[in-house]
Amino acid sequence: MAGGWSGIATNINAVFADKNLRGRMGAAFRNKHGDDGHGGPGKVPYSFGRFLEDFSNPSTSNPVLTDRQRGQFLVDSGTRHWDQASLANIETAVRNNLTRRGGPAGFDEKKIVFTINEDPKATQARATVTEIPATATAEAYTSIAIVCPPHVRTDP
Amino acid sequence: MTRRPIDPTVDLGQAANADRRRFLKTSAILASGLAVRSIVPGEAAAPPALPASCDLRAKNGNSYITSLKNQGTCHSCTAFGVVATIEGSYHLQKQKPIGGANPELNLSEADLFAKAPPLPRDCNVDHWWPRSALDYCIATGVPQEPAASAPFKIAAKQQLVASNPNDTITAMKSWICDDNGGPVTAVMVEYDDFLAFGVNRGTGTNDVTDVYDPGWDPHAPRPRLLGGHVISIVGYEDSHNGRYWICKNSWYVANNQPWNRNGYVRIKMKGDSYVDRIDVWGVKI
Repeated sequence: MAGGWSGIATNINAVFADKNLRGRMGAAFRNKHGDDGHGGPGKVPYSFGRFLEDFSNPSTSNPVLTDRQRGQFLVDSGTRHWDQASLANIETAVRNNLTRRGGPAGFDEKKIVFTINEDPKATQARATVTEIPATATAEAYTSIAIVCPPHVRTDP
Repeated sequence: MTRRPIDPTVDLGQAANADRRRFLKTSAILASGLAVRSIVPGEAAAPPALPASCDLRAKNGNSYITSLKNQGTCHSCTAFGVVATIEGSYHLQKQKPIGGANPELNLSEADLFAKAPPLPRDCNVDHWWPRSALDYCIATGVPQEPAASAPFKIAAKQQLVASNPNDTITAMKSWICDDNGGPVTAVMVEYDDFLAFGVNRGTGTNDVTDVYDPGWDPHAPRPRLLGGHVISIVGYEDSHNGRYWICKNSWYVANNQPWNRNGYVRIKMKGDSYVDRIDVWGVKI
């Protein structure tokens, strides 16, 4: 994972922050990866990087990633570039939040907030997943704080 | 194939400014997806058609591609992909086909791996893009093996990825087949089925004719995304027989046999490996 993806994280956070857009993102996720995110007939099991690679922002209908960015994003998403426990935790959180059951439509997607920071000494990306409870003024969400190697190592 | 050191006084890093300017101009044209052509006044200019296939291992009966090398278990593919591209570009641009009176240029991947920024680097760190390796080859150069007196420098690097994927493919094909171009270094998305594609292919020097694309085996589990890999593209086929890149890899398998029978692999154009869409570099000697 690379610090250069902060802009993508900002875009995705904006989608997660809007309940309607989040619902549309959840529908796209389940359409590709199945209702539980584990695949099935005609569906592909979710793994990190494989949802965003061809996801279009529901508010603009534009792909989140350009063609070139898709390839680079997949490279960065590969298991070699990640602390394995972190990668597993992220995949679980994304899968659970976008397939959460509930609500009148049958699904009640949960908000995620991504943050990306660089560590000059890091050689792999790692992440901390934290569940943030609701407050009087804000809904509950899942925080995924990613720390990754510096630009100079990770950007082509 | 036996490798002999090449005369370090030939070349290098001393391309005349005019030559460099000509290269940069040509590069810009190639990168824009157009082909270099001469224009006769009053005549409508049409870009020449690119050949349907090109293989620098057998261009007009000559090979410009140096011997296969083995990166072992170290994540040093960037060094091997970049050096393979530089070596092939040298032989093509200098019109020194491999064999006979022309000894193979043999540059040190180990030196490039150990010294090119960003440092420090060890074999478990594989986030190393070709740009920084090529910049080191321009500024400092890489010694020949066995050690020669002067490092081998290149004059310039050229990114061939354009905003339109079709333009990128045209630029790549133009560069590969042009005598002023050569092989290109490319980054691909690596899945675990890429390694499997080239295992148990037997021995020999002929290519495996299957074309790789992630998920090639419909009976295998969905391939696992590993990260990136760097190879050198030494040719292409773009006809009714198929659309693929001919790629030089740097892997060996059991019993010291080249991966995928002869170390080369055909990768689908515009496929899911993204080999022609992420990061593709040509070099000028």
